[in-house]
Amino acid sequence: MMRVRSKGCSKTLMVELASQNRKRGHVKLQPLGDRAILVVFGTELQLNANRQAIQFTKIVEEKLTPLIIGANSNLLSCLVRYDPKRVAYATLRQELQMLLASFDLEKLRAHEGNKIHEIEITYGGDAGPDFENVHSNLKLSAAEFIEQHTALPLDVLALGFSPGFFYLGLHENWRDFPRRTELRENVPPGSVLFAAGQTAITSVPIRTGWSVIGHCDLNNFDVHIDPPVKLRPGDFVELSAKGQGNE
Amino acid sequence: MNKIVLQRVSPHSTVQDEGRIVGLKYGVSASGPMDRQSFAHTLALLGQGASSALEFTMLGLKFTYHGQSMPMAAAGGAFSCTINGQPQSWPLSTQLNDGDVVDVTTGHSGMYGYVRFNDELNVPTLLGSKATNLAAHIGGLDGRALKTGDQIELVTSDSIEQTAQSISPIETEDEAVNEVTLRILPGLHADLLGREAWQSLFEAPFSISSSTDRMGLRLNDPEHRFAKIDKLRLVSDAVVPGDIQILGEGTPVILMRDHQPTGGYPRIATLIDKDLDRAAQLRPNTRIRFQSITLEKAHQLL
Repeated sequence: MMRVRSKGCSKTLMVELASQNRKRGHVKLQPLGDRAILVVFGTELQLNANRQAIQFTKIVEEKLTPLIIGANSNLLSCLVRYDPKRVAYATLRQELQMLLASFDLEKLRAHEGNKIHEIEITYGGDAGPDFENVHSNLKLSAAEFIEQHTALPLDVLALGFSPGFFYLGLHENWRDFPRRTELRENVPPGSVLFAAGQTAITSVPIRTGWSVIGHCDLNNFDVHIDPPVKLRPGDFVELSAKGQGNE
Repeated sequence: MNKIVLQRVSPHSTVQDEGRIVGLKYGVSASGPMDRQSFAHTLALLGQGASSALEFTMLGLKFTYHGQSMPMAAAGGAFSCTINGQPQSWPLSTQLNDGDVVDVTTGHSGMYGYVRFNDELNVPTLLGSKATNLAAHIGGLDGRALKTGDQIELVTSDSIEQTAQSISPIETEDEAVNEVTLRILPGLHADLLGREAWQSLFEAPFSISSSTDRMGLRLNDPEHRFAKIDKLRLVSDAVVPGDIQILGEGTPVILMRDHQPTGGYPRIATLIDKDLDRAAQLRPNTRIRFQSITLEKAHQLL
């Protein structure tokens, strides 16, 4: 057991901190603990950075799979987990840098997925207690909000937070829409959430600060099926209104 | 049929195996044993055995074994154990017979212990794992903690063997430990939080609060050093076990095996993998100090 008192932040450490942030283009390779590297494509949610993260993750999975434990995309990053006993950090970092070198960061990335999922939403009512508050805050009628909310196909930006939970976006005009100050408890599966230019759909009961604007029948998580999710990052979603509870 | 019947079990006890490695891409963290070294130790004691084990918490558990003679090992922390009232050594490797009553009770240190049998715990394998994730309600017995009255069948299956390189010496805390040093690397947001916040981590000790579970260890910070920290309005990003996140009101939490797969709270530091098992075993009120380490050194320790 160690009883050594820490001397705080050494100089070497601050140098290391700084070197972690050295950018390659606008991409950052950051160690996350001693068993993962995070490849960060941005800090502000942008569709292009999100697509970069998703598409780069696919490449990492294809090219580095025997070397790593797993790779998965987040909203703006690719998490690469590794076993330091199996591959040295420096080696893996170099491999990732080489993959980045041939990954065009200037290119505006098109949507790659060919899967389109249709999701019917029941807006408002008991299953969407914040719906009225959301559209009135945006100075839209219920019908206007629904029209705009369902107007464009949306990217599945990421899975995360809880089993099967996925983020859809972006609703560019509504990026500033805040989270609620109070958390809602026990929000049921299939709930349609809204905040910060994104729509999210739950698959298990959760607690959330996002506005709950409706409900759908989709359940994106069944642990007895492999893979357990129907929607994956990079898929497309078309929303439509079920035509109830939107008054 | 071989089975065990639980007569008493401490809260948050679960079925665990190596963990659900593929879960993360579907929104499920891997789970797995809170103290992997002790979990592995039970297999080392058996030589070969099941891939899964019972993980119990500080107050132990009591069960009756029914069936044919069955090898069993137990390890982790410093628990006390009797079989049919006869005191046993700890860690323990033994052979159970029909009707044996195993009673594990709290000892002078440790939060998690493990019981592993030669035969496999008969719970479904979901996404390649039997591990219970209490946060996501997946795995083990219907995704829940063990409770008194539970009956678990033991079934023969391909047993796994302890390989020489997969076990490292067990690091247990001394009897009278009340201050422990844990080594950390800069977390995902260390640079955004700034040098002052980072340095404050080393100024005075924290302590383990009474609010600790498989999701995370909340720390008490008498200094309230993060009360006014910038919340940063972050885009939610990947979480790894050992991440130290700062909650809204400034409470630091060391995220553990059942962590959320992603999160939006700032993360100032990440525990090195090697110290995660030790951290899991710390009881409430244990004082902890952090010490910074380089990634290179952390890897040399493995």
